Amino acid sequence: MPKTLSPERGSKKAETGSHARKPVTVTPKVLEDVRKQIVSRFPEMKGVRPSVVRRRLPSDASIVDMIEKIDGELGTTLARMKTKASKKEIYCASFERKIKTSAGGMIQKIVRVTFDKEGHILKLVSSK
Amino acid sequence: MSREQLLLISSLGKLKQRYGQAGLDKIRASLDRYKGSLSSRKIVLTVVFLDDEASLSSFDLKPVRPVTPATAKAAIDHIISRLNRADDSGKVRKSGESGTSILILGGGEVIPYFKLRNPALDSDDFVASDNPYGCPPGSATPDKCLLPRIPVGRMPDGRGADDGILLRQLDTACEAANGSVSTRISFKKSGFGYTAGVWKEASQRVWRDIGFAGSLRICPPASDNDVNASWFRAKEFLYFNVHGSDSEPYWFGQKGSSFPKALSPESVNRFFRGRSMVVTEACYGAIEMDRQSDSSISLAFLVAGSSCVVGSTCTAYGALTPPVSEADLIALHFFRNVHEGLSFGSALVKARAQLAATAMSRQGFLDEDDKKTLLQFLLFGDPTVSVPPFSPGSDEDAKNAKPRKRIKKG
Repeated sequence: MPKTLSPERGSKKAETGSHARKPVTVTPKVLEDVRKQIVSRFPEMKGVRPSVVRRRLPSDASIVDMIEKIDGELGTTLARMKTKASKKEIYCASFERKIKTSAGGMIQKIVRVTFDKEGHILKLVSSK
Repeated sequence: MSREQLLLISSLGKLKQRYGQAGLDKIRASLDRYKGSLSSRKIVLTVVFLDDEASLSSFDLKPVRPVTPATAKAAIDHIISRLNRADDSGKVRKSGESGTSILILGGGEVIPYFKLRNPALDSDDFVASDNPYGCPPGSATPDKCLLPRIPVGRMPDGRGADDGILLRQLDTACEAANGSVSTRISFKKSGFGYTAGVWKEASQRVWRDIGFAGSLRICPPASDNDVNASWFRAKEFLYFNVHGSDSEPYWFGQKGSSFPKALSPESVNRFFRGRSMVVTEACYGAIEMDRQSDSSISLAFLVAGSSCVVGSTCTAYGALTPPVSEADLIALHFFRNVHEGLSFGSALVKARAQLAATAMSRQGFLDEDDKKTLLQFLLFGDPTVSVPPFSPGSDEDAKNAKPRKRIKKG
């Protein structure tokens, strides 16, 4: 049974931002599986509790129009593809940690993973 | 066909306040030379100081005071509409085609960046962006400014009273307008890449798809201690996929939990001499306010003669492994578009559209990270400069390049 998870305590942005419009309904098991995969790839994120938000899947027809105005061929190709946003529930977990550099300062390292309700990782990016 | 226009925007009061009358006189003299140089490329330069009555009277505008992002944009929109009446197609132009580009003379202290709401809800309070200046009138919200149609460049001047930062960039732009960029670097066909170890695979893909000759170095084992003049010599394109910081002047590599120093402003000041185009994916790679050329790698490149720097104003994202995304796609498409003959400004305009199209085709929508990427990357340099198209990887310089560590393709 899916359980609604609260965003990470202290993650004010996640609570008040536009992401929070849709409830997060990831099971703890799925989230733990995702977390394990991230930590295996980014050992520096061990012990970090991610903030989780549901990705909004807005209708982006206007984006195709904007692309077409910049590059007609690209816009036309994209329009022909009739891309549709998945109706799946998609989530983004964000792992953040400050890490010491060799110069002695700190940099903020962020790993963001997009995954579906079943825990399949759809996209994985990290901060530069 | 109408002539290509370059609208240069600045603030007389701010420049005078920072550099005094003597500095301002030098900048104006440099602008006169620049105007002459551009005319040889059939580009009309219109210089407008937003707080100067004489600049604005011909556009039926009163001086803009105070100069805020909103008031600056309103004035720019009005002036562009006057300049662009004969050509409102809005398509990305190849060099020589008619249209208008915008060049902002001065950093955020002179003409402020827009502070847009951060779509990604990460640690950045806002996204500093020049996108709205290139968007249609009334567009100043993140969702309306993802894909500006008008090429925008900026010559930043950091902090302090050193007018040399602006004068050097104007000199570089004059040389480019006179064809010096083309004759000095366009046939080298060689690039230099530098990546954090953690992004090696993604960088290799970008490197391979761009088709650079030359070497892609990895940090670690390479580090700032290894930098020398041969890294940059005769390299037309410099590509950096490294970490950056809002509190330190360096760029960093990464292996596991180790973040060694990859590049410092000192190394750029010491070893870089050239006209190379620079693209950096580093977080805060384009940070310039409160920095000088000894505390900002981007400013260091510009002061040393780089023809342009493309970078991010805040935390940027990219993939670890292919398929590449976000910042990687900006770098890939910008370089390819320049290869194909687009001006720097148009190359970035189109690169954003290509990133958006890629994300749309993969996901069906733009997620928050894609949107942030579209807003955060900006161009330092003259947006009208272009280099002749060429097939990379066939010149003697590239053939003779002996990288210390060459990584296997793909």
